[in-house]
Amino acid sequence: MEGYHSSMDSAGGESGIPLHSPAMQPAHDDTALMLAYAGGEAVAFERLYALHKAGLYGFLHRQSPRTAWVDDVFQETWLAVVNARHDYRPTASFRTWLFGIARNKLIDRIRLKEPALLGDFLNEDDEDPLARVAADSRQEPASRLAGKQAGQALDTALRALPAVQREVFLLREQADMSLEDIAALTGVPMETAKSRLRYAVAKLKATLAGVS
Amino acid sequence: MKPDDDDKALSQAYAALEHPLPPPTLDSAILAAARSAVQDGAKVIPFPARPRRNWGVPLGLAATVMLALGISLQLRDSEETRLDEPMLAAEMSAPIAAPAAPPADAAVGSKDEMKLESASTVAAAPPPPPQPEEPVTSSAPAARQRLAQPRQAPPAEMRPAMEPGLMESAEQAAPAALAAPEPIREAESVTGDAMARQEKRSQPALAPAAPAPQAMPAPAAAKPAAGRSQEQTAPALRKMLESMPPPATKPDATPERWITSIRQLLEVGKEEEARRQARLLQQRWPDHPLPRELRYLLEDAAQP
Repeated sequence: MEGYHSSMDSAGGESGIPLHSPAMQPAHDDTALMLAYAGGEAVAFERLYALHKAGLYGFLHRQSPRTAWVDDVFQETWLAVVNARHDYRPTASFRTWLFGIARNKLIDRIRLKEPALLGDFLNEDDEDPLARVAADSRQEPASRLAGKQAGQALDTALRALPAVQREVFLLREQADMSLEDIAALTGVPMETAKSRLRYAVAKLKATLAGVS
Repeated sequence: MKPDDDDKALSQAYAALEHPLPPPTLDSAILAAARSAVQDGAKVIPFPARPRRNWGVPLGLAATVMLALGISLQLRDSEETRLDEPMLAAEMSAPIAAPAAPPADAAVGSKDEMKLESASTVAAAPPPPPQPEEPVTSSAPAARQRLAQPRQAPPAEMRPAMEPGLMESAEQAAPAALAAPEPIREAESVTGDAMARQEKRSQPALAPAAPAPQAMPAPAAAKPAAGRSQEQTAPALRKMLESMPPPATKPDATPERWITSIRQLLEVGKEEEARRQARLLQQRWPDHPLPRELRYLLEDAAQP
């Protein structure tokens, strides 16, 4: 256990967790930490939590249709990790497993609280993404965006994305997941995940170009 | 894994966004749950991630407390109202109850007892109708029973000058007066023996639980007192009553509560008792004016 402790310390600690931590913290270390926690090492969970709490919380913060749900879904996700510690099998990366749990918890919450929103979060987006990007760009002219901060504009544009596109973008940016993992997590073919990501990025780029 | 390097600018812009962190309380709770799960081996259950703004419980609790408080206050008020009448009866019997306190083996009677003795002697001039079923006692139930019964009207010439409370005291002390025939009292000098005899005679009348028949001497002893004319006894009684202090009232009786009692008496139709209480109130609290609507009670009483 000493080995992963030292490697975790090099990640910069809780306050310095970057969005893309895998560069400094390999996935296999996550797996080792989770297995160590399943073996009774409470400190291993603390390290896992320190490494992934920012990414997971940020993902939920932007993906959840209701801000009030974020804390609940966040803690439900981690407690699910705790309760499933003995069933954890390192077939996929810990990050994919963790975000998959969070996504399911969020969809469960939406299904329970506001089922009308469920279609946006499931794979039922029949609308042509490119047409929607074009339409949204027309609705949000560059002159209007020019007065805003770029970050606010990006945040606004991100929230305006279709949920499935926003989810792919967040999983990539917030959790640094591969398209393969995203496709597996969301249950769609890889090409679908790739196209969603492309459309999301296109709209966000258009937003940033309008601001600048 | 990024689609292409052109997206780096977007990634940087996104990384520059504000990324909220979970609140510290949530961190602590999750970590504590994870530790306890390892230590205890128990399955952790979800807990409130943050204090919910659920006002139902505190509001319900506050409403329950307010309701209970209101009910208890109402019950207390109604109980005070219910107790007013017995308290008035206790006030009426207080003048005789106070002298009844001295122990039976007191060697010499007090000055008040002497006055009471003489008062009862004078009041006994018109012999009251016998009430053998009512023992001479000053307890509250007896007073309440007296209130329920129609009061015996005193002689007409005595009524305006006589305090109603003292009237009742005199009525209660009447049997004792029968035990002290006037000729004997006048003939005896004030010696120790005479005082002891008077004390002994007065005890049955003043003792609360003393049965009335024991206090009743031979009927013949009352005949000399009965021979006195009311014209002679009334001025003496009036003079004696004027020299007496105002009747004892409840130590905690405030003027406001007294006035409330007077109003309640008027409400139930006991105007005469209300007049009496108004006079008592004026005696006990001379500097506390009666409310305007109650002053007629004093004015009526002042008229002969």
